[in-house]
Amino acid sequence: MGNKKYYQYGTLLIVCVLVGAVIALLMKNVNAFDTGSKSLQELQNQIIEYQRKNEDLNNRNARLYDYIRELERDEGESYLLVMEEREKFATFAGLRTVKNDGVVITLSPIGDYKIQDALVRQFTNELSALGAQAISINNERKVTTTEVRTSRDNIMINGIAFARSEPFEIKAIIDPSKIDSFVVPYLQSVSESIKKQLGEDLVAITVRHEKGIIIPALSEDRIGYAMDLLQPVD
Amino acid sequence: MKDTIWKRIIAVFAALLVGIGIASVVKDLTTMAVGEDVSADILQAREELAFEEANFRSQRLLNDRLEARKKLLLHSLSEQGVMSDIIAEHGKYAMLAGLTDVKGPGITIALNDKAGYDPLADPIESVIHDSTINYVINLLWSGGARAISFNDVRLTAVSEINCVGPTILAYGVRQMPPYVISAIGPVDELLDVVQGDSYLARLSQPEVGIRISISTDSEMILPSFLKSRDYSHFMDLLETP
Repeated sequence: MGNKKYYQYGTLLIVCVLVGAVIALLMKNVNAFDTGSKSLQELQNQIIEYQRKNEDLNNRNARLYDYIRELERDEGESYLLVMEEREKFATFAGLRTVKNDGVVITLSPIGDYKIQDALVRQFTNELSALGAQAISINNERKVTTTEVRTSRDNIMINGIAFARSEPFEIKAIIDPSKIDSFVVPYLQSVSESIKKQLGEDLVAITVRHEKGIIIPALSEDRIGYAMDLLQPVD
Repeated sequence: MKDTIWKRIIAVFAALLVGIGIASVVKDLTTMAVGEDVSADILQAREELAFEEANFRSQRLLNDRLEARKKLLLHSLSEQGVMSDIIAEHGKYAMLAGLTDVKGPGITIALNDKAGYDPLADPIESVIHDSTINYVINLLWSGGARAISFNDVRLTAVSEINCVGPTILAYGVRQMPPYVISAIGPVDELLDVVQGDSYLARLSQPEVGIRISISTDSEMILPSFLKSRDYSHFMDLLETP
């Protein structure tokens, strides 16, 4: 009887020691992986970021160097160079009409529903995040200063009012190689989730791939041209 | 009888502690070698990062010098009456595109996650998302902002701000809180739209807890987009019709 009791105590002690050991090992493993791998991963991310920035700067410096050499030579080439760069700046700013393959998203209100500015913004933000290089909403070019804001029954875009009871058409030029494989399916999934949130019978959303989309330049009378409060830094 | 129960409980705890102790010693001995490997990797990564940072500083310095030289040459050509109209337009378009440093009056909004954010207890809005940043930016444009930067990255016609997991990226550049949005424009109007916005007011309520601070400046400088990225990557798909 006495031996049996000691045997039970002994077994219990061994089990407890083993359980304690397992707990300690688990905790140590979790901590070690957390701190070690996280900081290494963080450093590696930073290195990759700097490498990309350096590559960017290196290319830009090489181009600038050539540009300056041409300006210094002043053999007539500089005129073309400045003109070419001026056009690039204008295109990047959204002041030139552009063309390429892209996607067209149409938001059509159903019944009395009125399109919300947040819905238009959600799609333009998604398109920007997907790498769109030019965007227009109802043929208003999205430029640096473009706002998408509800004002009563309208949505203001570049200071122009568009009725919320009418369809909104968003066009974007985007990497053609990704349109069918990723962009359209992704935007369709976004549409589905929006329709689930809002209700199927309030808004119809279509997303389609379109070849040779033309996105107009910003009209010269728009607020986007205002530079009255900006001064160049010397 | 009570005595025996207490003895058993104490024995169980003692055994657990002994187990934890033994495991710690064994683990320390066996992982010492692995730990050294991880430290060596970290050390190497730090050295590599320091090298890339130094490279970046020198490239940036060279870029500043080349940009200044280019500006001077264009100015001198313009002064001589050579291509003065084209050079003036060149400067104007660069400014509208966000490709020059600009200065002017404006406001700064700093946004930070709720202090001591607890994912189990706090609402998801207690952490700043890309949608929050995009919302504030749109608000500032609607208030008449002429130029905006986000964490010192100047915004352009297609402002690429998105989330990858918990990280917010601006044109592919990782951003960390606090998120600072600076806008040049009509200060009073900008203040009105920000201070009068109900969504921002809700975010700053204690239950959501987003920390928002707003300040104004009679003259602030916003950097050119070129200080963050090369613009040519963001327009290589655009063709002239």
